[in-house]
Amino acid sequence: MDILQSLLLGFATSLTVPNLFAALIGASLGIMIGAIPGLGSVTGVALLLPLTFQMDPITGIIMLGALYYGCMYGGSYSAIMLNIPGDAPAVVTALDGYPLSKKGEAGKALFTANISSFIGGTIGIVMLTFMGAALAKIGLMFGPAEVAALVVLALCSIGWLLGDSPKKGLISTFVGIMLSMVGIGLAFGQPRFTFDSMYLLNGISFIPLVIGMFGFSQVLEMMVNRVDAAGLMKKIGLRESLLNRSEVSRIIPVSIRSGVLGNLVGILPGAGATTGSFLAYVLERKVGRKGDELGSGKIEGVAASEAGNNAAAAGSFAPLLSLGIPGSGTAAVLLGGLMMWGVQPGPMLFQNSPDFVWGLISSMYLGNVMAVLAALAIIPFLVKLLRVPPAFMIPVIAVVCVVGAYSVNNSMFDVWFMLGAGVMAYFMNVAKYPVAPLLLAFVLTPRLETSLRQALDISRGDFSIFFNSPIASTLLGITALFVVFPFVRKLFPSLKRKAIKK
Amino acid sequence: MSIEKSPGREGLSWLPALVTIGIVLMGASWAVLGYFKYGLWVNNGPGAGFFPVVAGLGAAVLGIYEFLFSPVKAKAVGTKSLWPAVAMAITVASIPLVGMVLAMALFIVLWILVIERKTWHKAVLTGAGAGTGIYLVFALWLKVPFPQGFFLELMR
Repeated sequence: MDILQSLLLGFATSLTVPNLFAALIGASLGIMIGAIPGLGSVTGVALLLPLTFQMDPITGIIMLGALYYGCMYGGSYSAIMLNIPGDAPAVVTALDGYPLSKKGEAGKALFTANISSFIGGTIGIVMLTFMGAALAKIGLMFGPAEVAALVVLALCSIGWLLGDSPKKGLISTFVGIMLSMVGIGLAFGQPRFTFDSMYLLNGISFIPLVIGMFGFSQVLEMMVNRVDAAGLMKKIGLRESLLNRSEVSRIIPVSIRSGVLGNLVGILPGAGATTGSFLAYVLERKVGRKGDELGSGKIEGVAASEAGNNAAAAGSFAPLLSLGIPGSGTAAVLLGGLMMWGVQPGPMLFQNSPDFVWGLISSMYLGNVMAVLAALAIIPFLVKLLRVPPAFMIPVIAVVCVVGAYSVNNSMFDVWFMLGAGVMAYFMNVAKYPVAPLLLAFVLTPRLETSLRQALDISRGDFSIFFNSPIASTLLGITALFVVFPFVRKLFPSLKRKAIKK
Repeated sequence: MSIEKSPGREGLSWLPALVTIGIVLMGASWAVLGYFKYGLWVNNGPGAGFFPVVAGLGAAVLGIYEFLFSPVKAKAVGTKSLWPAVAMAITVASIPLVGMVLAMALFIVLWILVIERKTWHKAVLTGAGAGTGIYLVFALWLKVPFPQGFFLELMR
């Protein structure tokens, strides 16, 4: 009851005309920034932060919260429409979102992304409201051994993304791991595979890699295969873009389970929204009714990824507010902002600044509602954009790729790298090597390497650390089941038949 | 590795095999460097070379198997698909001279005129629109420090 009263107090503070206006502006800016490849929520929040210092702190945090949510919505747009993920979690959205666009169902994909983002985000905020402190404690129970076990589970799940040829998928995964090893490793402080280039000391930048591998390689593919773009060109009316009742009932359960999972992943230190959206997608693939068809353009795939992503984003606020530990890059920038406003996040925050903290939590509800309204309003315009003929689309996408790659670090090296990655990904597509496992292995492996090293440092090389921890051993057990189950199914055909019937 | 011919893709038919060879060479060098230079197992834990060796060996072994025994048909790739990469590489190389915004606008204009053979006013309109959009959003609003280009610097 206390929590509800505090939340109502928060709404009483935040629901004023200037605050609603600030939320609307924040959400619209966030959608725009999120949709631009190369710019994510970290850039958006960092850009807006100095402007909000002149505002009332509550108005400022409402604007930033809405911007953060807006970025999450916008990140999926370029992934669905152009196959260029606006940020790392949107890589998973692109797996089903772009095939839907090619079928002429971009509008449905965009609506699905927005509705499931809203559901996932709402689940995340509700869980944060009622269980924030408890969630943060769960997050603290994840030490290096547990995080390593979680990443092993995620890495083994890549198997479902491997495509027609598991061998080629596995090779792509290994290439992703090799590329992620470039630069100074966090666990060792030693430069690796930099070939004496100072540009590679910080490692390969993820966003230029994604823009090249998804976006620029798409441009090359469009040159020879303009038929593929026919679906994109199809005239789509707003009515055809709307989801019908059966489609809505298909995505709601997906969004709810992905939202809960994404939120739990989001509270873990360093796990991030990418792991959240990826694990939600993997869960859907495993338990969903159309799990086997994911990747071929199913709204369930878009819903799982987007709900997981937004719920994880909300989840990262739990350790930030309760413990003062940022769970993501954006939360780290926000932490800086909170400190500049004179607010010290941590266990005493709820006691010392209840106005502020409940204002912040209520602003997340407000931001989520404003973001979904703004996002739904621009879908008709976005769908019209897709009808630009390939003759104009090809050079414009190519230019967006270059500008996006440059904007990440303001570096021409990144532009050249993006071009190289695009050509490499196109060649890999031609040789039928899937690119998605490469990118996911690239994101996940450094986390595994650091956690594994830390866990074995703690235990002085004793592997029992993974089996003495109930969380780590459970996660490793689930991983073993996932790995063994396909073989068991092959050995016992009756099980396989049952699975097919189902 | 057999090659599947399709319109617009004739030409670089050796490319898929080259990709696999490239991956094998990359895997082998990662494994060798990882083992000898960075160390496999250091102080009771994985060394800086552990993951490179595992991934490198995996890629090299599977790559060799794929190269020798793969029955998978690979698509041949036409040189036409590489035009945007070549054209964009030339454009990016010209950025230090003409600046980012102008180079991107010129790329769009020339592409639509020369490759797509559309009318000049459509080309100029698209190029100018995109250039203005990039300038307003990235340079003016987001303050991205684009390279100005040698000529603009000279004029100043």
